Amino acid sequence: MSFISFTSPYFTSLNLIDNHLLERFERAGIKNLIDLSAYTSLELSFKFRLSIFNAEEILEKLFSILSIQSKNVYDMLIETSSLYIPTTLPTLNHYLNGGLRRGLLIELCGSWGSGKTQFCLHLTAQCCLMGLRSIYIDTEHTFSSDRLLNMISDFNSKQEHLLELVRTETIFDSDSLMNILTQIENELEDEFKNNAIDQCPILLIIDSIAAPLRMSTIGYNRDNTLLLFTDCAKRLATRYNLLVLVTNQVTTKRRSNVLTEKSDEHLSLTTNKNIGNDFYMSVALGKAWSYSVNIRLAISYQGDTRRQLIVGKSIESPGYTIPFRILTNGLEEIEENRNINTEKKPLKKNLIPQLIQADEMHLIGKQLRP
Amino acid sequence: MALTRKSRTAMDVLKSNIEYISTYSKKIDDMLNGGIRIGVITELCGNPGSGKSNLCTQLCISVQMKYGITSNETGTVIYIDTEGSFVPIRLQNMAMAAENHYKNENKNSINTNSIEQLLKNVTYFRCINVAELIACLIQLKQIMTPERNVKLIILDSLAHPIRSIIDGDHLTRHKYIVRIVTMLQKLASENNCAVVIVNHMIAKVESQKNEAYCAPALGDAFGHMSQLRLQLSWKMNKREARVLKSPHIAELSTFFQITDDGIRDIDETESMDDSDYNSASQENIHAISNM
Repeated sequence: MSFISFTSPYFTSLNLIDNHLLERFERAGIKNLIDLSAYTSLELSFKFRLSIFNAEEILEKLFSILSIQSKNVYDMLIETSSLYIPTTLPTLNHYLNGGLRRGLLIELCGSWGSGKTQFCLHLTAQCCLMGLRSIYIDTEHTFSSDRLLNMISDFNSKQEHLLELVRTETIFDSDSLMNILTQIENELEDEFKNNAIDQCPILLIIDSIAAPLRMSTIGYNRDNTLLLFTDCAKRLATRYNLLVLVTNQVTTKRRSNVLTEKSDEHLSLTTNKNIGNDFYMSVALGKAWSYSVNIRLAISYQGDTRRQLIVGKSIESPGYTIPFRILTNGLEEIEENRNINTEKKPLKKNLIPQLIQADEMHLIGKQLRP
Repeated sequence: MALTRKSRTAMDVLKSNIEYISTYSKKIDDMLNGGIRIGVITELCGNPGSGKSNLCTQLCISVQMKYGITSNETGTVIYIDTEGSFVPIRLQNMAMAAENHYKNENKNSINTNSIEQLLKNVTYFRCINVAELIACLIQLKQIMTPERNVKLIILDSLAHPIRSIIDGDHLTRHKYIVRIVTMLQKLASENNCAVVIVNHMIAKVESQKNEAYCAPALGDAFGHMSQLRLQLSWKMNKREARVLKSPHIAELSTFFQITDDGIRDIDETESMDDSDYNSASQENIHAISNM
């Protein structure tokens, strides 16, 4: 709406203000509402020789088409309280107040072989078991229907027909990614208009977002594409109440005391020896991306089939680390034996939350045995 | 339309009651001489996940509590969300915790707000880009009637829509920032409400020494526009709140923690094992600052 040109037939048909004035705006370089946002009523009155009162009126009328329906939080709570997708990890469900909530942009990062695709498949399976549709966008060619079927079916019943609820798309570069997202948005808009809300998908998985971006050669283009993608993903999440799950890769970063804000008393500031070759593995795609995601989950490798799911950023949950296993029929949480220390007061759960910096997480990857 | 302006002496300004909103952490309130000031713009910056949205949600509750605000009456909140990071359940949890606290402290509970009313008093707007944000602020002028008694406006965040502008240079972004902040300043002083703007941090590199450091986003020009600049970060495995800029108070910093119930102080008297610093058990909840 904010990008529609002032001189387009749609806009002129709204008949908000004099069309001649809209043409003058266009000639001065103000093509749509976004451009108009930079101008105060005083500036408009100078530039176009209007009275200030007139200019204010015009601004109010034009911006009234963007006026948003406000809600109070109580109504929001009633609307959204039951709209989440439960995972098969009970502790995660508990601390995220039911599961992964729809309407959010969730990121899952981890090194290669850590289980990101498995997590995506397990979430898709959960969605299928609820009888709802999902969309799986595969950019690394790692989607496996067999694995999905394993996770859906119990040992008793075969539920192959549920696979029809999953729509898969395979793409390779960022252009086709944006194309498919625009296409999906248009289709959802149509479905919403036709009131076919039951048929609408509730889950959108993009596995992974880092792969098509790494194909871009120029760094500046990559930031732009990421911004466009974030815009689109958040729009899809909020307007159509989708859970958008995005997987990310890892990159090596050099340990820098200044950027991590951690003051390490053991590291003296005068010698550069310790700082020099200190590399660690952390989340790719940069700091600005870390702000865009609502929840950041990370998988760290612990050996064999054991993994750790770390909640890196979430407004509702502190930084819990949940151990789990990847098995044939999905993900399963590891129940560790608790040693109750009778001197200390017992904690609510045997899991201790930590303070985790969302953009500087240290992850452990698969180590090959010599 | 004649514009009359009454001039005030410095004594008038001193005697006029300055109202504050508590952050529910006594240490932070003491550092800020009372809390978040009403009538001016406060900027909140920090790295991702440092607790900015949590602090904003906590303020939504404290402004409605009798002891959370130094004023004759409690007020309502307008929450403008540009990132989608607001979660209603979190507000509900904090509301329940605050209610429970006052039921325990005051046997004859003066506070008759039920949780439902607490939630209903927070109006939520979701804006996706700059144009929607400005349309929202224009709308606010009509919404903020005296009956509604808005005492707090939260913009979470300003950095996200500005940084998402692709085909704009620094000058264009600066114009948008100025426009939005000016509108908010007018709203703050005319309606006597507090405005909290959330900002991001960016990594900057100093070319001479080739050192990288973190600085608040949106440029130096924006740095001048807020009255108080508060930075949330981690220091030595604890959460820290630091005053970066203020004309009234010194540049201090203090520690706090975020529990299931919201923002609280860290209890210094508990046993100081390293493992205890990491735990967020129920026992770490302390007296909400009494005002």
